[in-house]
Amino acid sequence: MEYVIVQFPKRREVLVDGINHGFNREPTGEERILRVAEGLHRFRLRGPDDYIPLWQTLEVTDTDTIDPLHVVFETTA
Amino acid sequence: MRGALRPLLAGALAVTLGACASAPANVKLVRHDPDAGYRYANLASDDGSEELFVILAFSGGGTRAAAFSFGVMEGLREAAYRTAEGERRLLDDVDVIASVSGGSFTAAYYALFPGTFFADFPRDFLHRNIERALVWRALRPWNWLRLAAPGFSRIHLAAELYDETVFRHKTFGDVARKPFVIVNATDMTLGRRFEFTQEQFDLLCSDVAQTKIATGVAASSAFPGLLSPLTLRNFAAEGCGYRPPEWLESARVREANPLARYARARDLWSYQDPAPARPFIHLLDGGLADNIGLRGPYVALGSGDTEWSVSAKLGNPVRRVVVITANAKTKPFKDWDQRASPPGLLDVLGFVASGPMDNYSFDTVQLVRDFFRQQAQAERARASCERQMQKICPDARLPGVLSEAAYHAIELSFDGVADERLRRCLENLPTSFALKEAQVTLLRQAGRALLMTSKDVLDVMHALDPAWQPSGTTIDPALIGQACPDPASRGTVR
Repeated sequence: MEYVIVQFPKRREVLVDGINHGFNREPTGEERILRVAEGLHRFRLRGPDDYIPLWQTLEVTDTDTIDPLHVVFETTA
Repeated sequence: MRGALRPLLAGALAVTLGACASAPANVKLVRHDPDAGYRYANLASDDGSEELFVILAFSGGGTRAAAFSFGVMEGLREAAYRTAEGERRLLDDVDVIASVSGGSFTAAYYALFPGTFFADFPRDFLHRNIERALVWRALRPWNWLRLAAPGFSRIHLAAELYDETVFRHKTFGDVARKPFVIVNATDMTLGRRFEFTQEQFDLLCSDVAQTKIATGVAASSAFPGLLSPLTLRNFAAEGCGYRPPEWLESARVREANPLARYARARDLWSYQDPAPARPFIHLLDGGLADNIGLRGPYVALGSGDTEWSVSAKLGNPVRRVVVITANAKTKPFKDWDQRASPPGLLDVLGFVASGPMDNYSFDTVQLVRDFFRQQAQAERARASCERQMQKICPDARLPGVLSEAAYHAIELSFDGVADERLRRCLENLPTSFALKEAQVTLLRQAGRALLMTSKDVLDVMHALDPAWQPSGTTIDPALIGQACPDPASRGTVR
């Protein structure tokens, strides 16, 4: 299993390969660590397209719970 | 005139036979809709808690497996625990049942008739002599003609029998509520698992909702040699507007994925691939690819590469995952090692047919256990690291929040029976669709007792309700003598 933090200022649901992996942040605002399998994945945010890039395709490998991969989306609003 | 009529009559007979030999096993999907059809997300649920995710896996093994898994279900019905909203049964928390061969009868019947399952399934299947009924059906003269027609074979007779006498003409579209039952067969060309779900049928541009449950169960239990393979039409070449799921696109990039993920994606894409086209898909017993039904759940637990991914929900909202495998594998007594002469051809063939699969099943159970252990370990390592950091720097925090979950992999098999006489009896029961009433009753009692006395089950139940106590689990000793009068069952090879 690999571990990922999806960074975006707002609390949004994360789609990994089209499958909902839950919110990027806890209700408290803390960033959540998401679990994905090793390999190539397409990351997107659910909701309005107020962010860039609109999707990212990344190879996820060699992460762990202490040092997850950071996938960064920036707001356009 | 007579001479001229003869070929015409023969032609008409052939056309008539061909037409009425059998209905097609599957039909074309008009338009692909990833949100419609027999999918996990489309089944209603009365599951009170999203935090608990329960998966059952029912192995193959004919009526032995069906009766044993039925006994486990009886135990789950009795495993009632208290919640703030009232009493719940562990049975009501089951989200998915993945099944193979004999276990598919239990799983599919429960999916269709949950309200009458416990009252009717023993009568409709467990105590029925399916083998005799199949032979009688094959002996009907009308069926000789049908069996002589192309495209009709023994598997169609079996599917018809199951359809009329067990599943009452229901289709996968008639399943309305969870648990999501995944009936597994084996794709002969790929040697891989083939699921009777819309997610799989999308690749064939076919509608599983219109496919008879009996067809799926017949394919799942099409034991090689005894029953012929079941053939499905692959309508992919005709098109249905199929859009592959994103994971399938990602996984088909060979250099960026682990080989296992890539190979699975490549095999699944073979249904859509025009070169070489596969207009027909031939299915055999699901036990040939995975005899305990755990491979599908393993994909869902460890990845997002299926619509019902559990991994995507781990930690939030799913906080506890329970996988219960009802494994009706046997270990028949062999006297080979008491003789100087080597085992005969039938013994060798029997060993070749079951030996490697038994090892594979053992490895699959271990795979799930190891996966759970790794998850728990990774969560512990993070917590431990954070504690060590805070000893030096009290305000230090690791990035992000990792929601933890609890994991339980439970295998119920005859290996777990403490009473040696009973264990030997169970391990020597045959794989057939005609067991004696005492054998069926004994298997039911054993399934229920193994569930109730399992330490792993006790852990789960105590996590849900600390005051939970298992109900009594007596097995009638007289049943053992009735079920296993054969002296061969007195010995076993450990």
